[in-house]
Amino acid sequence: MTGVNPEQIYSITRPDSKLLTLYIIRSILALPAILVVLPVSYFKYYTMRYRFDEEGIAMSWGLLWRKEINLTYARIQDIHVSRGLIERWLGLATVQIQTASGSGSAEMSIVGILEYELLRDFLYTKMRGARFGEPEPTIIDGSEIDSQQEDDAATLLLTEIRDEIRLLRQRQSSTGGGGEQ
Amino acid sequence: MIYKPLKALMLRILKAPTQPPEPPIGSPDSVEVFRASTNFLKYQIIVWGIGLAAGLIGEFAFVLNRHSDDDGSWEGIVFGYGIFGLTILFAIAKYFLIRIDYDMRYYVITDRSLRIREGALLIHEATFTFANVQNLKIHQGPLERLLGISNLIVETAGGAGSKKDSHKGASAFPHMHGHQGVFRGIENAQEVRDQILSLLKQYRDSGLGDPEERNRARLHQAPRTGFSPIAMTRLREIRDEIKLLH
Repeated sequence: MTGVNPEQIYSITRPDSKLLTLYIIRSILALPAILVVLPVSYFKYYTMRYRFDEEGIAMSWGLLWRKEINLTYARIQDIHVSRGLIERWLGLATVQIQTASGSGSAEMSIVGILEYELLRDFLYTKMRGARFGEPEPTIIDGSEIDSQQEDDAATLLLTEIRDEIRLLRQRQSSTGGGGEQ
Repeated sequence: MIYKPLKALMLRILKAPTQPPEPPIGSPDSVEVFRASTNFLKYQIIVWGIGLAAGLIGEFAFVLNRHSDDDGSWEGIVFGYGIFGLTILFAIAKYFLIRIDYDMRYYVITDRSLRIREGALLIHEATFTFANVQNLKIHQGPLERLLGISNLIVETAGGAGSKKDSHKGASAFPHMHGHQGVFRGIENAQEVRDQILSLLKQYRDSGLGDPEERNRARLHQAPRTGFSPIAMTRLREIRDEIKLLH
């Protein structure tokens, strides 16, 4: 689970063709509206693009009215995965991402991804608090090294002080002992 | 019981997972998977029973009223029986759904996040990190109080669900939507709340995408006494040396 390969996620740019199947089934179920729903969803599928990178996600679709959504991983509030009956039959899922904006519905719905569990885990690891307290190479390592170095310097200094005092005592005791004799 | 084989068949047709959801990453020993209380099932069945009784009484009154107007024609009789039959058929289906919904309901808590999965027809799984949780609520109705169960609601920042989200219609029950996760029908809501709250208190930011590095650094330094064990040994040695100086 921790072994999510980001490259696998970054390589996602298009929804799977099964999404089109899903859209066709849904259009058929929408019976009288099929003439409107089918072309709309067909073009939605056809124009849908994803871009996952180190910092966030971009998603765009639309032929006449284009839509584009960009968000960064750090702003993700919660992740929802919902799978309807037809989606499960097709092996698909809808990964809904919430940010702290006003609407109650999802800010971004990633559809047509076969690796939805992988995507969910990947997004989760990028969320705030998911790696809480764990060493994170970019930030923690730096401060850790700093404090380690500080510790070393302090220990070195203390060792020097001890040696100096020890030397002082030895000299004193030897001169003191000499005086008695 | 007829329920078990029927459920197994249903789950296969529905392609629903039979295992509990896999936990989000966190310390493995902190993972807790639990389910709604058995009293929650009782509660759902009681609500279902009340609804069915009310429906049947209403229909009976309606049919009786219609019957007194009518002269007992075939249509009237068919209509009367039909309406009862349909109601009972729907009620059986509803009962089955209640059972399956109860069986499919899972709650997972780790030391830094929680995951809730519910639903049989539409499987809905939500994952939240405690770093993003804004507040915790406990709701309990009178009947739930009698049965000793309550609902723990976990909210993150953002708007409440619009009417479109309340797919359960005018139901008064809290349900999951964006920005909100619900532990429905649990007996130890207070305990779970305290557990989450104690984890929540570690975060000093607003849970709105603030950088957490500073906090984390602070947390990392908190257990330090300021001196490493080696430095402490050196200090003790210095003290002993100075003592010997006298």
